[in-house]
This record gives sequence, C-alpha cells and structure tokens, in this order.
Amino acid sequence: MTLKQGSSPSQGGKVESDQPIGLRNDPISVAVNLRPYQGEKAKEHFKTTDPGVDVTRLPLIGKFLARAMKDRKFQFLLIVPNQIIFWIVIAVGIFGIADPGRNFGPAITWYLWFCLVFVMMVVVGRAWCSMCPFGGFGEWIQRKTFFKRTQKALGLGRKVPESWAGYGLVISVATFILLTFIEEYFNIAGPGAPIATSFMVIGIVTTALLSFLVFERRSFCRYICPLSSLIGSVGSMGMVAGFRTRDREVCMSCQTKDCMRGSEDGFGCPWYTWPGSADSNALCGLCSECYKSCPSDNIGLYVQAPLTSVIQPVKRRLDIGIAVAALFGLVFYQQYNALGWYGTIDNKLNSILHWPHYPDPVAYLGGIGLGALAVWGLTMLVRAIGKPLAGSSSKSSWFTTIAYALIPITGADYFSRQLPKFFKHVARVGSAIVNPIGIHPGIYNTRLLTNPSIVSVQLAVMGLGTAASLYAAYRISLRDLGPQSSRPKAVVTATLIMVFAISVLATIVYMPMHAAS
Amino acid sequence: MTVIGERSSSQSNKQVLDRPVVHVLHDRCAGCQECIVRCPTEALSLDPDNWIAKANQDLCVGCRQCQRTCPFSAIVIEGPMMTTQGLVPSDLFPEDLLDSSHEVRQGFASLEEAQIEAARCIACPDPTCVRGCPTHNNIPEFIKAIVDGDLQHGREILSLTSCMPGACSRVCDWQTQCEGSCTWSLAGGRGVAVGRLERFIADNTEAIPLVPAADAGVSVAVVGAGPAGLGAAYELVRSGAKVTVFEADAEAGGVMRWGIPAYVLPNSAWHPTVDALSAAGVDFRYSTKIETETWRSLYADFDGVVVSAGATAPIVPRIGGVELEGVIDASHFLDRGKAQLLGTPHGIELAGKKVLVLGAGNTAMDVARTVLRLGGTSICIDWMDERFSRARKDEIAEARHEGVQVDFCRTVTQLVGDENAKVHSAVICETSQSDALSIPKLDEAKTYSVDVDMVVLAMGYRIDPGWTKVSGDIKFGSLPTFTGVPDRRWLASGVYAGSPKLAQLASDRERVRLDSAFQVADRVWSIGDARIGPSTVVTAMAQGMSAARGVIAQLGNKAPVAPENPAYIEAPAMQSAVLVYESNGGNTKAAAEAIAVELRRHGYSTQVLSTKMARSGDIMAADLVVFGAWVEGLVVAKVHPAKNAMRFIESLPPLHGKTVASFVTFAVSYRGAKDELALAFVNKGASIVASAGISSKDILEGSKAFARTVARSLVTA
Repeated sequence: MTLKQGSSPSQGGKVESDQPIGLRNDPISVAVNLRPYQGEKAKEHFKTTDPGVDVTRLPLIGKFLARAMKDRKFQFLLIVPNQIIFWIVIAVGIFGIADPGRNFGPAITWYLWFCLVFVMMVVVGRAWCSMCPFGGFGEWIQRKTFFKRTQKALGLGRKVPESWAGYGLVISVATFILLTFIEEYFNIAGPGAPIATSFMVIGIVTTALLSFLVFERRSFCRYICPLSSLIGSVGSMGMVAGFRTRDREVCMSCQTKDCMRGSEDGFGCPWYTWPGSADSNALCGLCSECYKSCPSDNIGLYVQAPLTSVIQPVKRRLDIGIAVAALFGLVFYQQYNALGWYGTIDNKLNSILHWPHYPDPVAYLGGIGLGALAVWGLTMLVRAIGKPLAGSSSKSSWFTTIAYALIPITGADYFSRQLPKFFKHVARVGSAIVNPIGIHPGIYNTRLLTNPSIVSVQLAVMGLGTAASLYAAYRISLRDLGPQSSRPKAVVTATLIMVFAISVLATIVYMPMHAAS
Repeated sequence: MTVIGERSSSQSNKQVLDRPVVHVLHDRCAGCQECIVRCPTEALSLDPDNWIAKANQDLCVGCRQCQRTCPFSAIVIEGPMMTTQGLVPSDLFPEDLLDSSHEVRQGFASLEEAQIEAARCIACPDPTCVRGCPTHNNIPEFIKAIVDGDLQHGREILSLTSCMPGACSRVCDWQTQCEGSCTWSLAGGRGVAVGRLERFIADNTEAIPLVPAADAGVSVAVVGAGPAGLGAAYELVRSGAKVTVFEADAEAGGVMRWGIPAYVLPNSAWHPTVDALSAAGVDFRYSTKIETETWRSLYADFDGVVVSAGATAPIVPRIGGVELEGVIDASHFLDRGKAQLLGTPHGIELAGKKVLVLGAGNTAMDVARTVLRLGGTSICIDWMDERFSRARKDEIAEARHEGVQVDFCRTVTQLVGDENAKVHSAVICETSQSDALSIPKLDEAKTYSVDVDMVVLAMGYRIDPGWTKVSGDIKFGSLPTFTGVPDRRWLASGVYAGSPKLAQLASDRERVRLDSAFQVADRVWSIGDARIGPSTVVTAMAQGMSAARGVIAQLGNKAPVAPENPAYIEAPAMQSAVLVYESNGGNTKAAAEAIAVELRRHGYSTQVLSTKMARSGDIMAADLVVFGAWVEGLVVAKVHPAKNAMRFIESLPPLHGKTVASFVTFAVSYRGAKDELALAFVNKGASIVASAGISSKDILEGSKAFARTVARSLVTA
C-alpha cells in the first residue's frame, strides 16, 4: 500500500492511480491522508546496531527454525519442560526430604539452574524469558490458552501506570534486591530448608499470576520480574540480537503494525518492543510472536557479535545504567559479605537495631547503595576529567554511557559468585533425582573441582569479564564520550582506568573468599 | 478558541489544566510513528536521536487521537479538549401535533451557522468518522467545503459515495455512526454535527447531474426500489450499465416512502434521486411482484440480477389475540397514516383513541408519533431493558417529549377482544433483563391490564422466506458474523480504542458492504435488508453501491486499467490479477512475485498480497486470482496446503464464477495438496483455470511456466 506523501486535503475525492486494485473502490482510503513517515535518519540511527545474519535465512537450520517459529506451539514447547520441573520443585520442596542437598527442588534450583540461567544470559540474551515457567504460566492463564491465538484476555488488562512505566527496569532492580534479601534472610539459596525454596517459587508465581491478571501483555516481565533487569542488562552481552526487521522501509510504511497490535497468527509484542526500531536485545523476549504476525514476512531472528548490544546502541537507557550500578553494588556486597570481618559488622548493627539475624537491612541496603554510589561517583570523576564541551549531554547521560561499559564485569561477577555451588555440589542434583527410586550412586559428595581450582576458574572468568569491559569501555568512550569532551584522549583513558579499577577490585576479593558458596 | 468543560477523569485530584499536556513514555515509545502520521495538528514529530515521538505542547488540541492509536499505549494526554462550543440547531416541535407533517429536526438556518459548527472539524489525517459512516462519505472534505463556502463542491464529494444525502442526513443514527466516531466524541466530548452539516449541503445545493458512463454492455435487473435498490441503480447507471428496476408497490422509495413519517423525512429529501434515475434512462416497472415465472424470465433476459427486495415479513408475537380486529402491523399502519397526514384520507379514525405499540424501536416511535398526529394517544412497550435498547436515543427522547409513553421492561402476554372480535384490552407483564445478550425474564406477579382501541405490531421484520422459493433455492441471507481479529487498519485508526462497540458495529457493516459486491449465485447479487435483515437506509444504500461495482467488475467491459502507460495501449482488454500467497520460508512469496512479473508480460496489471493483507475487496476487483500456499506435513504421512491458507479461503465470501489459478510450493513432494487447494476454491464456487505444484528448487522457472499456462488458458477460453 502506498502512502500519500505531502498530504493536501484538497485532493479529496480523487483516487490515486497507484493504489492496489481492491482499494480503488475503497472510499476510506480516499479520505485517509496520513502524514508522511519521518524515516530519513533511520539508516544512520540504526547503522551500528543492525545485525547482518538472519538465522531464519541460513541454509538447513534456517528452514527448520522458520517453520518451527511460525508454529504457534513453538514457545509452548519451550516452556513445558521448565513448567514440569518447576511444579516438581514446588511439590518436592514441600513434601520431599528435608535435607536440602538431597532434595531435588533446592538442589536443581541452586546448584544448576541459577548457573544455567547465567550462561544463557551471557551467550544468548533473554533465552530464559522465552522458556520461563513463571511468565509462561501467567501468560497461559491470561490468554486462556496454551498456545492458540485468542482474542479476549482474562483479567483486567490494565496498562502499567505511567508513573511506574517511566522507571523502566528500575522497578525490577528493586524487586531483585528485595528477593535477594528475602533469600539471604531465610537462607533459601544456601540452600536451606527445601520448603523455603518452594515458598519462594510459589511467591513468585503468585505475584506473576496476579500481575498477569491485572496488567496487559507481559507487563510483569517487563517491569516487575526480579530477574528482568539482570537479564536485560547482562543479557546485552549475548549473541542473539532478537527479532529484527529485514527491511526497515517496509516496517516504516507498514500501515497495520501487526507485530505490535497482533494478527490472526500472533499476539502483539508482549514485551512492548517494535522490531522496526529495536537497537538492542535488552527488551526482546524471543517469544516469536512478531515473527508469526508480520504480514510482510519482514522479520528475522538475528545473531550478532558478542557485546554488540552493550557497545553499539545509540539510544542508551538510563534505567539500564541504574540497573548496572545497583546490580554491581549488590553482587559486590555479596562478595564481601562472605568475608569474616563482615559478620562482625552485621552482628553489631543487628544488636543496635534489634534485628534478629543476618542480613541486617541497613547494612544490606547501605552496602548496595555504597557500591552503586561509588560507580556514580567514579563516572562523575571521569566526566570532570573529560571536561565536557558546552552544551554536551547531561550528567545522567554520561553516567548511563559509562555504566554500559560495566555490564560485562557485572555479569562475570554474578557468574563467578554462582560457580562454587555448581562445582562443589552439582553432582547432588544427580543423586537427588535417583535417590527416591532407591538408587544411591554415591556421588552426593562428589565435587567437580577443589576450592583452589574453583578460585582459579573464578579469577579466569573475572579476567574475561575485565577484558570485555575494558574493550567495551574503549569503544564506548571513543565513540560516545570523546566527541563530547574537550579532552577526548583523557576521557578514554579515565574511563578505561575506572573500569579497570572496579574490575580488579571485584576480582581480587575472590581470593580471600576461598570459593565460599 | 475557547475551552469547554470536558476534562479527562484523571484530572480530578490534580491541578486543573487550562491546556492539554502530552506525555510520551520514553520507556515504551518505539518510534513507530503511528501517532505522528495521524496527529491532526502536527503537534507530534520524531526525535531522531532517541527514536521516540516528541510533542510540541503548544500545538496539541487534546483530541487524544495519538493516545488511541499508539499500539503500546506509550502516549498520554491530560487536560481539556481545545474545541469551541459550536452550534447545533435544536429540534422544533409544532405547537399542535394534530395533522402535522411539519419536520421536527431542524437544519442550520444559514451558512454562517453551519460554518460555526464546521470549524470544529480538525480534519484528522485518519478520519475515524469516515469509518463510522456506513457509506464512507469523505466527511472532512465536505466539511472543509462548508468552511470554504463552496457548497457545490461539498455536494460533489457526497455524490461519490451517496446518492441520497438528503435522506441519510435526516434518518441516520449519527450517534453510533459519523458523530459517534468523531475524534472529539471518541475523546469523550461532543462530536462534530456531521449529520446536520451534510443536510445543510443536501438542502442547499442542486444534485450533481447523473451522467451515465460509456455503455458497459451490461443489462441489470434490480428487484426492489428501496434505498438499496436505488443505491445500486444509481451506481450502475453511473458505470454505464442499462438498468431496469422492478417494484412491487406503485411507487419507488421503499421504506422511505411508506415507512418513515414525513415529519422525519419529507419526500422531497429523496425523491429527486428517483427522478434523476428515470431521467438517466432507468426503466422503473411498478406494481410488478416477482413470482417464480417472472424470476425465470428476468434471470434469462438480464445479464445480472440485483435483489434488494427488503425484509417485509413482520415479526408477529406468539400470544393470543393477534388475529383480533384492530391489531395491525406497523408497515400497514405507517403507510396509511403517512398518506392520511399528507392529505389522502385512508379512513384511520384515531381521535381520542388509545393505541398500544408493541416494540420500542425506531419503527415503534414512528408509529406512536404518527398516532399522536392523528389525534390519538400511544403507549410503546418493549420487553428489553432501556439500557440495552438499540433504538436511537434521540428518537426515544423526541417521542417522549411529544407525549408518547415509552415503557421498557414490559411485554404483552395476551390481547383480549370483545364480542365482535375487536381488541379492547391487553394483558401486560413486567420483565427484567440483566445484560444485553440475555433474554428478559417475565415477572408473572406483576401483571396488569390496559384498555386499548388499537394494537400496532412494531417488533421488527424479517426476510420473507418466500423469496428463496421464488428464485429456486438461492440463499439471499446474511453470512455468519465475523469473529476474527479486527482489521488492523481499523485498529490503527484508534476507533476501536475509542469505542469498541461502535467500532465493532462499523466494521461488521463494512464487511457486509464489501461482501455484497460478490454474487450469491451465478449473476445474482443480494443487498440491503434482503441480505442482512432490517437495517438502515444508509447501510442498504452503501451495499447497493458496492454491489453495483461488483456487477461491473464481474460483467462489465474491461476498460484499460492504466491507459496512460503506452506499453498497454495496444492490449485489447486489460486484465487485472491479484496474487495472494501464504508463505513461510519465503518460497511461496518469491513464486507469487515471479508469476506476477510474467503475467505483466502478458498484459496483466498485478498486485501481490500476503493472505494477511488481502481482503475480499481485492479479490472482488480482480479479473484473475492467483493463489499460492506452501505445503505442510511430513511427506511420508500426508501433506496439506498450509492451514492458514485454507483458513483464508474459508473466510472468503462465495466466489461464484471467479477465475482462480492455484499453486503450491513444495520441497519434496506435494502429493494431494495441490488438488486439495484447488478443491477448496471449487467448493467456494470459483472456476479453476490451472493448478500446479512448484518445486522450491526451481521457483523462478516453475513460476514462469505456471504463469504462461494460466495466461494461455485464459486467452483460449
């Protein structure tokens, strides 16, 4: 369908000859005089972030994947295995053996799942979101179907209030910090009593379900889910760019926007992402609905070089910047709270504040806040060194830009923090599976690595993270900060030093931690 | 510009704004520009650095079009609507109703008055009012003509889509059509008085002369001279067809003549259309009822038959006493009552008499108000709850204003006659209804009796079942109601977000309007009440005009589509082809495109559409339909054409005689899928000229060969 450029209302009544046959007799299109789309700068704006490889157009695998993703059962089949495990985790946690190491629920959740989620995050992006049983369950209920395209949603279908939506992923950071506190307080991930894991999972699924019934689409995943900010920010390192447009011109002039509104074949994007303007994988839930609904077959699943969504976006999001700083504060807190001296401080604070036991909320929030503030302070230091040119971007924009460079080291830090549980205890998942049927393979105490080896792996992971962060810092500061600074070289150097300092600090703490779980 | 007191509800607890304020949610705005291209005042533009919409607050008038069109609800407007009070002529009730045919609803008294109201129109780039209008008048354009003072241009605009603007602008239910879907109305304010403005043009201009086009070589019989038949005849004549109209009554006009009282619709508002048709050569044959024999000869003598016979069978309640004397149906009453008021005595003596009208719809109001004018008193009762009544609210209000007693939640259970079998009282029972879809429940305890002198049945009409017999089993009735995802163009316009109920009604009407261009049987079209049951003048007329275009597309001479293109001037008859594909990996799409290229070489004009984009109108307008689907399933088991493709074909209206070529694309083997696809079209009544399987290894060559086969088979045919 062609657009009438430079609309002039006096043309009314005249039918343009380049309209498709069926529309020539269509009096509505005669009366519609849309203003022209403003797409002149699209090429320039998206040049750096547009990935080149469309997986659905690759030989062999492309055909298979294209067909699979067109099928409405695609996401259902991704969710189902996780859904089964997840209900088993709840049931076994409540009714199974009280020893957390021998109970399948906590064992698989904390020794294996959490590590796997990180691997998927770093390698792919929002892979977990596409198969998540929490969101999946809520969505099934909301849509009143497992996989069909239904019309009327169950629940209130409200939109997230404007005042929340403005915070983007920041709410998710808050819920993550809250959930981590609850987890530490009840020693859920230790793992402690299996029933605690069950209750936590039930708590999350209940919250998710309620959110799905109150709000439309995947508002829960986008704004509330505790993991969303972590996956959204750290997942930017991933190699899957998500669903993107093949030809932006087609998207710009598309008059139906089925990918956003939904068509007979697919729902409108549950994540509020438009493939036509996506410049990062941070908010693509890989659900494939847009791929199903596009009327022009103009959407592909793209892969990109690692770190692309960290380094390349032109439009950087403040909420991701804040998420990175806060998440770094949190993981760094979780590092030093494993050291002996922290226990003393925590106990002392607790006795003053009459708080029953670790973790003390003031120390907890204070610790995270200090870490986050330190990141903010350092970025401001970099800005001061860089002497921004008059009229260049704001403090928060500098902060956001530099915070993106910390994404790899933050991701590496979370991953390293999980590694001890995996290397020490992952074998227990195996024994927890077979124990109930009377087999005791004797692997309960089998460790994959010794403590010093674990520390070595942690240091190696942190080393990789440091390298990635330094590379990102170099590219980002060169492109985005240099031109805004009166001392471009100084600003690049300062950014690199800052990122290096933070990375090294986080890395060396792993040595005295001695692979603490 | 003054601000009137309509404010968004969220403002109650905040500071009162004196201007609208635009909030773009940075987090959610994807820069898709759906709002920008539709903003009436160019208040929105794209911030290319962040790729999101940005607003110029000073230009915003608070119409909230953006808020309704944003797919992600990423834009919010607060504050008042910047529109003027405008001006709407008020109704003028005669002091003495007795024997009055004085028109109650008033038009604008002067151009200046009309311009005050016309200035409220902000000419939306995607005018929702046009979608709300059943015949899609170009409303912003004719309103602009009023502002410019060029009424004749306004009339020209109207004549493109309507042959009776004088009638439509009087009897349309604007609140659920144009005015209800005006952007101001969707935003919670008062819509522009579109109906009155249309009437101002209709009343103050000469009709555009009806000039027949060059002879299209088609003779068409139109059965019924009501709004649908007149609409069809008008468009057929304009397209060059030779038209003969058969009418059972002695005069044309249908419900406009016998049904709608003169105080609502004077004959002068529509009769000029009949005169113009006669003058343009339409042969009106009055007092000609179509029986089985006449149908046969008519079908044989004419190239096409358009049936617009209306819905004439009154619905009679299943209660005792309907056979009594003094119980008559509304159409008989209205016909005689109207004639009597206009000066032809019909012996209806109602002075001091009490008339019970069963029903409280628009017809019932007409009956009740006619009773008052004939000197009687009237009570309307309806068993529905007033909240769910579909009757025009303003019409009920007008009737009550004149003194009609309108009671909802009541039903008659028995009519009682005297010794002469003449009705003298009615037993009425109260009812209750909880929602619009449930059937009202009778409350037996609350039963009472009223004395009546006459009972008029105004509970509606249905399609005369005798028609199917007359025509030898042709089904003229409606198609099942559409229950899919709404057309995304309609969603995009924001009319659904503004008023889902109104939008649903409007898009259902639109679907029937487009479908009425298709034949219901070979060379037979069905329109108006005969197709969908009782509806409105404008809906029927719009279907008539749509059917006329279908008749011409199917039977008319093929005029060159693009005569300005020298390459085609030599082509004897330009044919148009629409290629519809259901593609998955891109093979079927590529094949469709390759076929299109080859067909163009053979002199076709082509259009390639995916099943998601194609609409029945595209299929209707094309001479040749080429349909392609991919093959799904395992070759070892069984393969079928893609499910979506079959679903698409299923959703099409009957395709009597439409020329279709179908193909499947396959990787290994198509087995039965090719024939299955062709059969689906045959079952829809299409004639298949060619079908093929095209291998994905050989898309280009295979497609070319198929296109050549199709083109050749049509030349020889």
